[in-house]
Amino acid sequence: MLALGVESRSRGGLFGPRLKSENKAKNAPASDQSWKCMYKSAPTGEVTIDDFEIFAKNRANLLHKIENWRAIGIIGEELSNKIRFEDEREYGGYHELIQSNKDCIAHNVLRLAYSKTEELRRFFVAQECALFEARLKVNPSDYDEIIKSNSIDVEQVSANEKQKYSAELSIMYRQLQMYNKELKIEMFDNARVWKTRFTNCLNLVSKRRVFVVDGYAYLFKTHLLNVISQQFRIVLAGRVNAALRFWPYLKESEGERVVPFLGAVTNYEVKYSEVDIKGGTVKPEMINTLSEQSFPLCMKVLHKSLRDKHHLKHQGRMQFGLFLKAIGLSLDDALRFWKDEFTKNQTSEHFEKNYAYNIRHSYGKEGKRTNYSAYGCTKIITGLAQPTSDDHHGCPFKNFNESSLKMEMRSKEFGDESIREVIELVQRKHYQIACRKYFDLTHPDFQEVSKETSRDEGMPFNHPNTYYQKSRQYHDNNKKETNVTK
Amino acid sequence: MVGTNDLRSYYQKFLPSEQIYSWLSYGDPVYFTKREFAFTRDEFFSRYQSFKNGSELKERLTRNERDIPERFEIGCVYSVPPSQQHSVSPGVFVPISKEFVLDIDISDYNDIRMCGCKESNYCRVCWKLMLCGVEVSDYILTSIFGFKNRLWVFSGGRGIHCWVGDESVRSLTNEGRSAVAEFMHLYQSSKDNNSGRQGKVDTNNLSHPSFSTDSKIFQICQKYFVDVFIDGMDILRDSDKYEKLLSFITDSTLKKQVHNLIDGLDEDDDASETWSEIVKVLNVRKNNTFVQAIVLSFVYPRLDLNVSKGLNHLLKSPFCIHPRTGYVCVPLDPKKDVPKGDSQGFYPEDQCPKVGELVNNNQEATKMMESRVEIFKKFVLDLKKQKSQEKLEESDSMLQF
Ligand SMILES: [Zn+2]
Repeated sequence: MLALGVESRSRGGLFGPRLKSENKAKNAPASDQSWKCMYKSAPTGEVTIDDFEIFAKNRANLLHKIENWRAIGIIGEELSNKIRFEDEREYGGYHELIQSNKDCIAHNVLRLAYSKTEELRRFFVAQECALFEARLKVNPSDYDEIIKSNSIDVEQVSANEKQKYSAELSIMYRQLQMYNKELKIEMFDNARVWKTRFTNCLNLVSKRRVFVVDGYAYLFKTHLLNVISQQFRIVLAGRVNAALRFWPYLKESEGERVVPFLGAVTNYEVKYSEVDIKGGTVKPEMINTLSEQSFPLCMKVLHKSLRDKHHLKHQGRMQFGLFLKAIGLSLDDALRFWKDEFTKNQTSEHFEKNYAYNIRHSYGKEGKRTNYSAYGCTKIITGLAQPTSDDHHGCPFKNFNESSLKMEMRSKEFGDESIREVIELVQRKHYQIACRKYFDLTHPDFQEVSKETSRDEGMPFNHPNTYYQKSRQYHDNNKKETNVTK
Repeated sequence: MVGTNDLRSYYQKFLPSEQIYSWLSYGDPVYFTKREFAFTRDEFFSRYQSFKNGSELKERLTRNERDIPERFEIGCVYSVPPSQQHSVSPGVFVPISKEFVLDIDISDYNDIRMCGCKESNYCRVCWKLMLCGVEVSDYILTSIFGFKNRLWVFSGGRGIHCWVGDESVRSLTNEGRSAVAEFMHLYQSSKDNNSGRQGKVDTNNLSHPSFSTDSKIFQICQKYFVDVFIDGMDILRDSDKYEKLLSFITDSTLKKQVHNLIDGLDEDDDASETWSEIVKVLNVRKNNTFVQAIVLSFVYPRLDLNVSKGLNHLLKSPFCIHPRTGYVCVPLDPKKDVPKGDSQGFYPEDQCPKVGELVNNNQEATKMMESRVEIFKKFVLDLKKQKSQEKLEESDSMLQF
């Protein structure tokens, strides 16, 4: 068990003073620990280490999903709906969520984990804010309560003051109605108006969505969402910065399990399931064709370089070799495949002495007999040494310069518009989504042909072997279709 | 080019360094010591200089006759005096606060300056676009955003700067500065042109009540539009010139009608009456933005957004000398230096002293300088009053508890 509160840090609590866990009645007002109170106080009580880890992993997963949706341009209601669907699956409905210790623990654990670097902090704040906004949208009648419990400086204006600016405010209201269909039922005369310092709703000010007089922005109900979420963003940014200062204490008290976990959870990636691939389904003779049809670009690059130079350096051999193993190349076939290439430049004695051991090792037949699994995208993108000019490992979307990437895509006869889209994703550092875009371009009508039940909207595959599998599925179906029409 | 000797005696005799100190310390001597100054001489640019007070600043400007700066710029206030930045550990030296600044340049109006001026040239007609920039922006800063403490300055070259120094403004984040700048920016922006100065306002931006045809901002703009373009450049009497105006009217029937009105304009007629007729014709159609788009695209201030958005952008100090023109960067009074009644407002040639004239004891120039320093003194005094007023209010509210 892991104590979440701390009476003294040496006693092993994580977040704050340990309290007796209270019996919470359903529909009780939101506690300070809830999302509605912007996680003002830390979670209390105890949690098993397993739960602790699962809560955090699931939350990290959700945040990555949110990032991916936003990266492919999903915004507004559509984004909120997607987030809410996943949110409910993890934390239950509206009332359960408010009482959810799980939500609070997950948020606090990740806040600590993601405090380590500027890049992680930015990621965490951006995705948590999107989650927070999606939750806010569920129940606008909460806004008053949330404003009050978080002491946000917003006040409702008097009828007189509303009257004073009624000409301007009614214009703003009419424009708002055009964006927001639900408001049509309410007349301007009945609409409540609030005001706040313009600095509390910068988004609305910069887009000129509000009327501003003497430094105060005048707001209608839906605008309160922006004010509340701006406040959340500021509070969260401050807390995630503050969380960084927690690490030294943790190292003393939670050294064995929690610290490595917190380090790992930010690298959390989807493990590729290798269960249904049998060794021996892929023969060395098939690799050329498969590479052309179904290898992701990173593996194509490694394969081509192996064919051209009859050599690959260690990181490249690992990345490519484990990929081949996972698509079903048996150990014997792998030895034959690598030997055929390498011995074009060197003697077979040299190969046996220097490389064969490594290949058997990666199949778990030597040394510690670990059965190594193929690298996922996160490892390929961030976990390997930065390739030098004669290395070919890593992710080409990250490592290639723009012109080589363009040349590669032109050779595949992608249109200018598509090339521009991929380059733009790369510039925004969305390498996995760029890779997925590359997949869609080389697999026309993928959704229809593969009979994918749920549309996946260009979400990244996260693993080269998933890319490969999806591609095989596509080509198999394509073949069937052609056979049927014949 | 301005000579070193002239510069040196200007700095010694005329530069109001004590008032500059008084302004930038905002009642707190320590605050002044953390302010970045930057100096330029020939091609040399030295950043991150800081001083204890006004006389130290003056000392830096005059001490070494082989190193008399051609100009000096003001940056932001850091956590640590910039001259000591290397003696603190990394991450400690960070920007903290600065005035919100505006920069408007006449060269950004080239596409509509049909008086024939180009780039940094200007004449009495097109210069008024700068004064329109002052009047409109000053209204937005005060009436809309509630800022009080503004210092408007002629840049000595082709434009105008504004420094807004209210305490709450100086502590604005980059997001806060961007929001104010974006609110003010009505022009179409393209991706490659981040400073966003384009010749046409984006009509999507015109529905906000602060810019409607009933708004104060529109009224100011229309006044300048008639003065500068209808009367000053006489654009309705030259088909090359009114073509630009017609290009905003995308409805062909209305365009035809307006064209007819312009064709009917005789030698002796008052062109501004024809403009009123055009407005009537265009306003017959409900919910169109043609009049707004024309007036605002011609005269609405074209801000250099990048200067306003960043906390650590440097801007030329008031009272330094423009190296090309020799003009002193003098303060303007946003109420008295804009056209009003018979007064045509501030025009550099008439009201701005040059460094050469000053050091040669030209009486007229000296008088001009004195009156400009008076504007600055009054600004600094208002700042002090405002500060003590705020203190009073603060202690009042303390007493209430
Ligand atoms: Zn001109």
